[in-house]
Amino acid sequence: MTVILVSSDNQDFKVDKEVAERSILIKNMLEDVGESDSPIPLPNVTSAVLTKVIEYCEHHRNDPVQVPEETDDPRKRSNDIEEWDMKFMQVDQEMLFEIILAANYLDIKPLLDVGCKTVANIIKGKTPEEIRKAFNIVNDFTPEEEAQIKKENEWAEDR
Amino acid sequence: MASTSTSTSHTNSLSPLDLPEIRTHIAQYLDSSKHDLCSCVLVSRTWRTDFMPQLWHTIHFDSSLSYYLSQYNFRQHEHLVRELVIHDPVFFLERWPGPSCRHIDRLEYRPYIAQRQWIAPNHASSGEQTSFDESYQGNYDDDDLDSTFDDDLKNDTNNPSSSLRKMGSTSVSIRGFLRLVRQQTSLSHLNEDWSLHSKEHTLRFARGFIRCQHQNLVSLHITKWKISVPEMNMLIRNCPRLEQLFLRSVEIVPVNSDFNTAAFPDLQDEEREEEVEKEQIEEGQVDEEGQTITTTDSASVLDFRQIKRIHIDQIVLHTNRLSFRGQGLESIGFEAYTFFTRYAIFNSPRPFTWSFPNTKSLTYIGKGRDIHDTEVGNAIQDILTSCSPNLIPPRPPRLSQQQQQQQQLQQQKQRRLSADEALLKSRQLKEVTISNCSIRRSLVSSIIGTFGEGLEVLDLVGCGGLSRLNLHQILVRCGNLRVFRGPESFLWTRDMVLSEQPWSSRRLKELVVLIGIGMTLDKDAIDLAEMADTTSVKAVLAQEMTRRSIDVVLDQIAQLEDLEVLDLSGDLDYHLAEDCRKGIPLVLSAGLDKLRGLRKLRRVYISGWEDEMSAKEAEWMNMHWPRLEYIHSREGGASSAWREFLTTLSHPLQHGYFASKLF
Repeated sequence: MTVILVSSDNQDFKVDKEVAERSILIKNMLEDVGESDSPIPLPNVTSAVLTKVIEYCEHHRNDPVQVPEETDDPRKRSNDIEEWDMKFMQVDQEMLFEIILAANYLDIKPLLDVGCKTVANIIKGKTPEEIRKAFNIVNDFTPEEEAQIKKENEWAEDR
Repeated sequence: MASTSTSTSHTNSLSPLDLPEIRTHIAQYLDSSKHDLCSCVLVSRTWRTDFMPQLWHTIHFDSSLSYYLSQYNFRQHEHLVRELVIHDPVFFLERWPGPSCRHIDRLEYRPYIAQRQWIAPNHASSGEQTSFDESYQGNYDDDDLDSTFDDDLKNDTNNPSSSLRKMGSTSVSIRGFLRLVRQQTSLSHLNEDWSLHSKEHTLRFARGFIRCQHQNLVSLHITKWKISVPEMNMLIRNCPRLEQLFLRSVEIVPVNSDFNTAAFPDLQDEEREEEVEKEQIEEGQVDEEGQTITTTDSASVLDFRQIKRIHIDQIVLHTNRLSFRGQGLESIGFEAYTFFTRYAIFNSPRPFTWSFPNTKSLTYIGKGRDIHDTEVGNAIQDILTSCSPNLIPPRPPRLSQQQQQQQQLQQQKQRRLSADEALLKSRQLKEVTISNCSIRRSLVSSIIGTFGEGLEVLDLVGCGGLSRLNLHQILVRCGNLRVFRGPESFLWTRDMVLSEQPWSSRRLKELVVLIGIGMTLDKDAIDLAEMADTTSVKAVLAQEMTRRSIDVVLDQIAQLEDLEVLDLSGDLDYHLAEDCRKGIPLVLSAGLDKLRGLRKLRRVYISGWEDEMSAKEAEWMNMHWPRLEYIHSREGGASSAWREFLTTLSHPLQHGYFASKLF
């Protein structure tokens, strides 16, 4: 069985139901509407991003559903990205951010995890200033506040 | 470049980094590096808010941390701590009395330099305690580092006042830790090892811990406790949500035994006597007037009630008899499991019984020893029998007439189990791991015969003693297997040809089995070069029986469309006869193309004949096994064809061991 997904720029994507249901949002929508051929509009996802998301879901269509206990493990590691996923995430930052937003909106937790791990890997080893520069963030601390926070967190610097 | 719409960024469209939940999600993946979290905290105000909880989420409190982290700073943020590992009780429990964190989920006590911490506080007398806080910089004298606990004990004998101070220090640490445990509202995991200090520490902590309610505790690791059966039962009763219990070197001792009370006379205080009395009344050993009640069940039944998972790493039983019972137990694991008990060795009938009728997963990781006729062998047999009374019962002990009658009654009761129940029970056991030991063939046959249909995981890596029939039985009868890791025994291809029975395990995701191929060698071959030639793929395939054997194996494997891991050669060295080879040639001329349907394969071990693999095989693998992540080879090849294979292959090659090392 297939379903039709419609991107924000009105492109249709015909995908297997099994693939589309990697998204909990779509799965719930399909359950709510029952048997229906109506296309599913996804106003927050562009066709370029939806293409990537479908590629991911196709590849992971047979993966077991994540057990909450496993996903809540506090010792999460950012370096355990599968090789295929790592290649999949080798995109420019704009696309990376779009994929994360789409995964968040469509509720595809494994894709969101991989996206966040990739951002975590970008952050690693950078100074605060380098992080601001990488993500275009404005420093809104006063110099005094910054000095105070630095002092407060001195204990954690070499750990 | 994506952009953000908040005050922290310049451009218009939404960035995931504008969303607090995404920032929090990212922060979880930086948990291993406090340095990176510190950098994030300094990025902006909103980032500080979201990254601070992760910065304080897990604290390993050791003496080096105490150089940099002030008590004031800790107090300001202790509400954020969710996981606390205490390595340095001196600072955390003695110098900072009364930490008020109340939201810890996981608490561990793991001192890594116990002697140092044990000695240090005693350098200050009680009168010096106030100034100690200022003068003590977390740096012990070198002499302290060299001292051992034995020296310390020696000093105590000669210097009673030192002993008194030490006792005081012990009490402070343990009281502080117990208070910390009690004040947690959501503590779900506790892992303690007070035994690194001394037996007395362990005993004091255990006493204090057992008698308190721990409403939310789910998982408990205890080490080197000496605990009576009523005490263990009380502990479990006081933790109504406890589901996982890990016992490391725990000794089960008789009630009021010498093991605890006589060893530490100061514990025989009135409070302790009252406690024992109360416990005995609760357990039904004595009545309100202190008269002994002649029932032994409470002292001989270890009732694991609500426990779902138990892991035992050495247990020592000092009781006359003991029944382990756990109606709700789903998973049991034994590791380096030994019994040191005079009763187990000299008494007959066997005094220990294990009844976990709802076990779904059974694990025993041995140390290469034979488990025939050992207590652990009996325990495994007991557990399996309790899961299904149809299993062959353990070897009967010598019984008195009365005991024989009781046994007959019990057997009659067991026979009444309906066929439906028996069928249901036979599908209940899902996972069996028995590794690194020698096992009785009849036990393996019983497991396959009784539980084969329901088994999903069977891990026999490093297991000796199985017959070739056992292996054949497993693949033919266990239709639901997802994972099969075979033992140190060969599955001979000729057996498969002769039996003509197909494998029923069609849902396998992981297959690790030592395949053996018999060959007819050219007896006239006089040197190694010629010998090598006679075992080449071409020569092997020229032999009709060997050709058929390889075909049969490939045909069976081709059915396993869910297969993700394939290893047909094991990871150990075998001295095979000249006319035997292990593994299957994964080359196109030997029928590799039959495996084109295994599109889910992720890891494959090349099981020999590497030098005959070429770019053609690599291209084929690239095309038909699209999810392949790794190809493994023990030693690799030396030919130019092998080098071409490697360069053409789009997946990395890993040398070395495979199955049991990686999974």
